[in-house]
Order: sequence, then structure tokens, then C-alpha cells
Amino acid sequence: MTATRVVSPSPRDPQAAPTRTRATATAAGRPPGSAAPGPRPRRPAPTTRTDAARTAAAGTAAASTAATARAGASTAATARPLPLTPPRPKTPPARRTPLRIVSPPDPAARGRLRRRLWVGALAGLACAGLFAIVGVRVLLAQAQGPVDKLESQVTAAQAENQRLRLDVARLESPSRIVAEAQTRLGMIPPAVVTYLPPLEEQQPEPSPTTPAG
Amino acid sequence: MNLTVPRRRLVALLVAMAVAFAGLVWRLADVQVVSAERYAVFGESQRLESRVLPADRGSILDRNGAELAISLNRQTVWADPSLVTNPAAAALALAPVLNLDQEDLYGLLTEDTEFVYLARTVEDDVATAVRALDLAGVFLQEEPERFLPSGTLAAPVLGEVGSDDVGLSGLELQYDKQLTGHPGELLVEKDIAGNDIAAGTRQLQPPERGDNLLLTIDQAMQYETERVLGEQIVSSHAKAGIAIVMDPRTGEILALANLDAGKDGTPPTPSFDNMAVTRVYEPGSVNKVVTISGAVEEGIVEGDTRLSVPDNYKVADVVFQDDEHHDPAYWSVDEIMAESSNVGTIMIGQKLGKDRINQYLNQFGLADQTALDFPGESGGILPDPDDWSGTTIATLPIGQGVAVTALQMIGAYNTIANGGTYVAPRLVKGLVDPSGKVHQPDVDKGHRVVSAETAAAVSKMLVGAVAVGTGTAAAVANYTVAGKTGTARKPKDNALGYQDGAYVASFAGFVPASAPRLSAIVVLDEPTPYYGGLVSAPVFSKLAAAGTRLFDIPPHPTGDAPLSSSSERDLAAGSLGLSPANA
Repeated sequence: MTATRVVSPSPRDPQAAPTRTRATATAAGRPPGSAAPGPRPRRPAPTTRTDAARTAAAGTAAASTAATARAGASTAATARPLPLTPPRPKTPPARRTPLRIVSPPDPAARGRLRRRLWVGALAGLACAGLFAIVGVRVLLAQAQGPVDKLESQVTAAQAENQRLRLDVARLESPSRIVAEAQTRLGMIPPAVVTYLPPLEEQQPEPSPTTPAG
Repeated sequence: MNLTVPRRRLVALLVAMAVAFAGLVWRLADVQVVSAERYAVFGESQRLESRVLPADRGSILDRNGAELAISLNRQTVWADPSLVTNPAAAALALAPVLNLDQEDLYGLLTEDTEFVYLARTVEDDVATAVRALDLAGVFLQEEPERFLPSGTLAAPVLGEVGSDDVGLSGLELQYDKQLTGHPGELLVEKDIAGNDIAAGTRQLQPPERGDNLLLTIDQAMQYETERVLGEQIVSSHAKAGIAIVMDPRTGEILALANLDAGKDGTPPTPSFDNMAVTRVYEPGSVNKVVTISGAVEEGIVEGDTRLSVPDNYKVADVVFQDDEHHDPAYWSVDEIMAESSNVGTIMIGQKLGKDRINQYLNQFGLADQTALDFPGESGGILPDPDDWSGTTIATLPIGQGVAVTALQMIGAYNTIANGGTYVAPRLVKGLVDPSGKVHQPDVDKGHRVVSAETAAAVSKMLVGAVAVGTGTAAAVANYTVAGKTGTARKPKDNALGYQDGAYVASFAGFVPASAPRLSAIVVLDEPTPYYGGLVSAPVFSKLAAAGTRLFDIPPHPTGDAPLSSSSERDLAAGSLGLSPANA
């Protein structure tokens, strides 16, 4: 069982005259194409009406919408300086908008909308997360190159260090030093090595300049 | 049940899908639950690659930090014959670069295998040339190679390292575990093409370099020892020679030379093994110091105790005689030692007796391996007292019928030099870990063999042997040298008795006699002339002179400062900057 109620169409009803509403906004000084703060057109909520109400609504919708638009224009005109043209004759009071029966807001539809919004937000977050992961991976991959290069340099430097240590050890080898001394410097081992005795064992000889007595 | 055709098809499709879905579920359960672990391992094995990172082998350093053995990574050329597209062309290109025979290379490159070495540890320029050839199926890989920067210096002591970086002999074998270190591991994630995934799994456990081995050997002393010994081998036409120089107070071996005579007049070469500890010889008269020390310690004789010493002396059924004919003499023990009288020593040995002779030979370290524990080290050959013959009481006191290593015998002289206390020989000062910290090995505290008084009395006898006895050639100007000559016949190989005209000449002693800082033994195999006093004592003299100069040993040391060479003093003064890795 569907509950019904009776409402009157209003300029806010997007189904009534969306183009006219936009035209009204433009006339009020907002540039065309700018974001309007008013409600955006949307699919009307499903309603359940009686046949009579559906007929009445069809017959009166255009007239009531036009009247409302005119009222809006009149309201906008009051904010401007008074025109020089003579005032228009006052329009007769608008005919009472016929009532119609609309269905109440569907909670399930709102729930679905809310769920869609959540799903969309989560999907967006997931996409952003994926992009972030990819980005981090790219950064890591880019940073790995210099790291590999540095590691390679360290390895090469260590190998060079080892090689130089071997060179130093070879250069310090006694056999090489002796060979260099003999061949390049022309040195020869002494035939006799004379050792000087320690000073305390030497007998001091009298100096020829020491006076006798 | 009357099913229409479309409905039957739908049911059939449903059944087929159900079966397929069940199959999928079963497979999923198998992959994710039942065999999850196996598939995980399988997947990892496809993605992850573990690379072993070999650890650098530690260096062997002399007592001053000079590198005697060092490892260097080199490139090895290998091939996968299954990937070689044109073996003939590859062999043609590689032959001149690797300096190998082209046909041999072709044979290697056509073997039915996936791995074959072409050339191991090549020079860097060779590796660069091979890389430039860019041959399919020919690859390079790093391998360590052991180098001896000082050539063959102390080579028999250092030992050898195999191509797989494993110690095969000498100290390289004995300390292989400490020198090897711990290999590392690099775990990397690979893509389908086998390339490293930059942001993939990457776990690095770096290798830990092996410890450096810090020896007691002094590089300069070792060089001089080998040089002097080599010259004497050449001049005396000896087959081989051994020389050991030590600090008698600490047992530190400062030089250890093993040389074989060169063939066809070429210079002597390092012997195959460390003969000073692996080969035994009959020491001859050098061993008399043990007999007389025991007799003095037991109060049987003193230095001035006189004995009537005939020219020859019969023990059991064998007549022993002194080397030179002489009339019966009334010699003191000092003179018996100085003249190296066989008869006088045998008489003293008989007074000492079988058990005490055996006891002192053991206590002086002639019956057991030394604490060096060198690979292949011999413990000497000392007959069991129960196996003694009638003449053993005469042969052992004069150093025949017993076989020792040169290191064992110098240990006996170190005991006398050290005031009667045996000090175990040492070849390793410590292990230097990668952080530069030195770990000293356990040191044998030694044991007392004879009293200080006995050691002093025997030392006085040894001074006489050099001053006026058979060892005058061992004298060093301005220094008082104590020592003893030895000339022993060589036993026959695998037979009883001795070889004719084959002798081992030796000299062992220490300097300065009043406060010994250096001891040395020189052993020559079949020299000409064959007397230790003529061929071995002069080598001792040169070594003692070089050692006292190198280690700044005064003729009459007053303090008890440890030996330090000029290199050590430079090191202490900071003029030689050594990194922690090789300090």
C-alpha cells in the first residue's frame, strides 16, 4: 500500500520548467554557465497518483510554471531602479494550484544513493592508493639504480684496495729491496762487518794535548 | 519429467558449470590449503635466488704486520659447452688470449657438459680481453687467489691454499677455520627474464672476513736466515738445511727456514714441508746437554768434577770412541762438554742411569710433540726404556739411537737459556679479527726441568764449548755465545746401522750467554765438511750477529724488555699506519 499526499508544483520542481529556472537566474545577474546554487535537475522520485490527479496536473503544469516564473521576474525587478515605463496593470491573483498526490520520499532510494556514494568514495580511495603504491614503487626503482651503482663502486674500491695492499707488500719484500739495492743502486754486502764495542768497555786513551803530571 | 530441449541444455550447462566450478574449488583448495606450503616454496624458488657471497680469506702477517700471505679476487674463465655456438671459432679466439693450446680448448668447448673451466684466476688484462671477445657460452666468475708477496719466504711454514680457497698445508691448514671467515648470502627476487626486481625482496647478509693470523716470525730475520742458510748449503754442498731462531724467554719463533739444495747448481729452494717440525734426525753431540744437565741436577757431577776419560770405551759389545784420538785424560765435566767427548759423556750417562736419562729426555721435550701442533709435526723417536738394548745406555747420552726434530732440540737449549724452565715454542702471536682486535692464543706456561743453578752451570759449559771447544766458529764479536756442536751419523733407510760417510751437522746455542735473548739451531744434511763446528756454527754466528743487530740486543742486557725489531719500533711510534684489518 502506497501513501499519497497532495502538493502544489513549485518553481523548484525541476520537472516543471528547468530551462525557465536557469533563465531566471541569468536575468538576476549570474553569468550563464556559472554554478547555480539551486537544486540540480534530477530524476523525479517515483510517485503514485490517481488518474484524476494525473490529468489535473498535466493540464495545469505549464500555466502554473509560467506564472511562477513571472512572479520571480517581478521580484527581481523590485531590486532595480524604477523603470520609466508606466507600471503594468496588476495581474490578477494566480489561480490556486491544483493539488496532486505524490508519493512520500523512498528511504530505500536514499539508502541506495548513500551506498553508491560510499562505494564511489571507496573506489576513489582504492584507486588513489593503487596509484600511490605504484608511485612509491617507481621511486624505489629509481632509487635502486644509484644504490646498485654505489654498491658496485664500493666493491670495485675494495678490490682495488686489496690489489694495492698486495703491491705494497711486494714492494716491502726484503728480497725486492735487496735486489733493488744491488742492481739499481749498485750496493754490495760488506766483506767484513766491524762492530764498535760499547763505550763503557773502551779504555780512554790519553789525549796528546793533556799536560803531563 | 518432460523437459523441453532448451531447458535440457540449460540443465546440462548448469551441470557442466557446476562440475567445472567444483573442479576449480578443488584446485583452489589444493593450492591454497592442502599443498599451500609446497607451492609457496616452489614459487619462492622460482622468484628468489640465493647467492653465496664468499668471505675474504684473512692474511698471514709477520710480527710487525707485514703481509706474508694475502688473498685477491681474480677472474676465472669458464664455459657452458651447450651454449657455445661455434666451438672452433671460440677456441681460435681464446687460445692466444688464455695462452692455451687451441685443440685443447676445442676439446673443452665440445665436452658433453654444461660447465667446464677454461682458465682459473687469470690476470685482469686477460679477463678484460676475454670479456671483449663476447663469446657465446663463455663466462667469467670471481675466484680468490692466494699470493705470497715476499715470494717463497717462509713458504713451508705458511703452507698452501687450494684453488677452492681451502688451506692444504702448513699454517694455512692449521688455521684454515679462522682464516676462512663466514660466507654471506644475498637473497634477491628475480623477474621472469632473470633480472633483479628493483623493489623486490632483497636480503643481504654480508660475508664476514676471516681473521688475520699474526705470527711471531720477523720478516727481516726470516729473510736473513734463509739467505745465510742458503749460502751455506751451496758452499758446503749440503742436501738440505734447517735453521730456527727464537726468543728463548717466550718461545717465540722469529725465523724458521727449511731449504733444499737446488738441482744442477741452482740456488736452494724452499723444502716441500716444514722439515724443522716434521722430520727427525739423530742429534748427536748436541744432545749431550741433556745428559750432563741431568747429571748436574742430580748432583752426580759438577762442572769441575774430573773424570778419567780414555780414548775409547766398551759398553756391552760395542766400543765407543772419541772423535779424535787422545791419551787417557783427566778431564773436568766442563772440558768434556767443550771437547764434546763421547766417552766422557757415556761415563756420565752411566752414572745417571737408564731411568733418569729417559726422565730428562722427556722433561726437556724430546719425547713429545711440541705445543706448536703444526700439521704433520713429529714427536720424535725415543726408545721405550723396556726396549733398551745393552748399548742404549751409551748411545742415548751422545745423541745416537734417538731421533728428534730441530724444534724439539732448540727447546732443550731454550730450557738452559731460560734458567732451567722449559718454554713451549710459539709461532702464532694472535688472531686479529675484522674489527682489529687481537685474540691471543693460550700460552703454555712451561715447566721447570732443572734448577737455575744447574742451568747456569750448564750454560757456563756451553760458553766454554764456543770459547775454546768445538764451537769456536759460532762466536760473535763482543758477545758471549753459549752453544754446542753436533755431528751425527745418518741411519740407513729401512735398515739397521748407519750410512757410510753420511752425517748431519748441527749447532745449537744462545746469545748473550749472561742474559739470553736469542737462541738458534742450524742443521745441515750431509754437508762437506761434515763437522757441525765447521759448517753449522758459522751459520749460527751470522744469524746471531744479524739478530742482535736487528733486535738491538746489547752484549750485556740489563733489563728484561721484550724483543723489538726496528720495524716494531716504527710501528709503535706510529710511523707505519696499519689499518685495523691488517694491524
